[in-house]
Amino acid sequence: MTPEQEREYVDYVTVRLPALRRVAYFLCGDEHRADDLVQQTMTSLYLHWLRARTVANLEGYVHRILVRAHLSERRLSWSSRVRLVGDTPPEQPSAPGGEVEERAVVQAALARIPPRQRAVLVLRFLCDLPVDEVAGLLGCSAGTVKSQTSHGLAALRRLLGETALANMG
Amino acid sequence: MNEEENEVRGILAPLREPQAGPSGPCSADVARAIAQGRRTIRRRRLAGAGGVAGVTALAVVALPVIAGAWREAPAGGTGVATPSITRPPAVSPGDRRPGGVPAQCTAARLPVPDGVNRSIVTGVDPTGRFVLGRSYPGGSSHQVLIWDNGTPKRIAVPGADQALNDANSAGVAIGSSFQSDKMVPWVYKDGKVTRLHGVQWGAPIAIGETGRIVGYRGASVSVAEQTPVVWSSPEAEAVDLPLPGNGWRGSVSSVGPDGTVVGTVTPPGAGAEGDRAKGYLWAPDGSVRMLPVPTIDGVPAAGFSASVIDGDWVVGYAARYMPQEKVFEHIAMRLNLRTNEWAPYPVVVPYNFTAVSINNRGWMAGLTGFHDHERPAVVSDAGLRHLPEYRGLTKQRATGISDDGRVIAGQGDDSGNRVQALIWRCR
Repeated sequence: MTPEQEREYVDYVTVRLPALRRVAYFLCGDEHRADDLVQQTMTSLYLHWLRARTVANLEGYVHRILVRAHLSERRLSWSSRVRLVGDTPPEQPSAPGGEVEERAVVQAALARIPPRQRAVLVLRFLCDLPVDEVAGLLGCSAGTVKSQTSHGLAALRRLLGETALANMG
Repeated sequence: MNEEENEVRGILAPLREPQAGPSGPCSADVARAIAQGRRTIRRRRLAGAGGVAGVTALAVVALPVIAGAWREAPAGGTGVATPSITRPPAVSPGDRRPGGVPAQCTAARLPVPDGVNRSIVTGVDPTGRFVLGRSYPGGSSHQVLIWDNGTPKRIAVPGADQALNDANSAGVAIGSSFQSDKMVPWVYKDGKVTRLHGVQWGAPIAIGETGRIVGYRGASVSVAEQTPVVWSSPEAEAVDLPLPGNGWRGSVSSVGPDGTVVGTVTPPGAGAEGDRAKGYLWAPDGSVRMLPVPTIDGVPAAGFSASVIDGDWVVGYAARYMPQEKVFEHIAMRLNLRTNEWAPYPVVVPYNFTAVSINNRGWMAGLTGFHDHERPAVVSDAGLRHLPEYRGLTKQRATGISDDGRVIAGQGDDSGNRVQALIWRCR
């Protein structure tokens, strides 16, 4: 890789890092694991930068690396058996009211729905990827992506409904 | 855009704000990615030139995702770490159980019922008779399968995203699914799937020969919200496992033949990647024991995470901080519980091996290579061995291994990128 190409890489990754980290966090629900996923994604992108920089949809390419890393983690038993724990206390909604609480409540609800449904919602509605691309990433049909969206929505409604009821009581 | 999509978009809108997401400092780092990338490229060249010498070494384990898949051997002439052990171990697992994974292996597809064209392996029992997995008929609900000597049996696990994680040699299997948005723990015994008692949100991780089951309860996928629990039998209520002190966190990983549970605990404020982690034993009589941390090259490791217990041996990995690269490197180690002495792996493990699972002898099933160049491999006392690839599948990896190393299971992708369960039988 030439110094020029490496600079391109640094520029691209530096700009994308906060957004990637957010996506990773919503996918896995844990800050440390999110950072590990992002680190892995950046390293992988570096290794493939010469090819990656020429692809038409670089963002999609990077999301694909991230999602693959996330989904393969779920299949890998040694790592999932050896759960490493972080120093961040459980995310509790802080003082009631306001945007902060709303975000925390939605975030908590998202972390509680099944992983594939969560991946579909994150990719479609937070990464703005089209249905076909999400289907490709998750290795399923476009129809499955749509049905997972419906299931995910139903789950979110239930979870957020429960929270609303709890807050009233 | 239909109404449903608009509703999801509306619900998730707060998460699109720049303030949404992780609030702590970011530990991911561009410079580190470049350093790791350069090192990998350099080592690829080195490996191509046959640069790894055959000296006794520790297995440097690339742990997928959590530990980072590209933590290769430390920089240095031989590409391997040199163990530093105060005294030679009195007994090494290699002495006790000589040999390694048998050399002659044949690859085969695991048959999947109903013509479903996607399947994966999620576990193997210690004898290799039972292979756990699932197929993907479509939608969020999967068909859980147990292959008994290669013959698939459909297991009706309720819920979505169902998977079995572990089984004992009697064929009692444990797993979890999502049901009404909760992660629900299950046990399969005598042909029936029943809920494990006493946990509202959680999953079992491992089952021992005595039927003792360990796992965790929590509230979400966030590990910060999880507490380790034990079920003394498939019918028992879950009981929280005690931790060393206030604010400590713990996770469990394996149950030994006598029911002793091994896991990992970390003090308040410890970071990820095995930093300040300690191995921890919970004996069936309720007593507990903190395991020591090994010394590597004269320096105490940053932590030790325990993965498997079998009799006198605990297998796990030490975390060592590499100040130049600013990464933790993970080194597979074995601890003799009787003598409290450490034994390194008596083999050289190439930097690009990624361990996926590990058996009671400390043999690891996994893969070498990255992305499209993945190849299935095992590491045993006989060294690293690539498994023969099943014709026509790419990205093959081994994900489970029996205790005698004769049955190895995993998966690969077919030409339509559909994942297919595989089995290797070795003799």
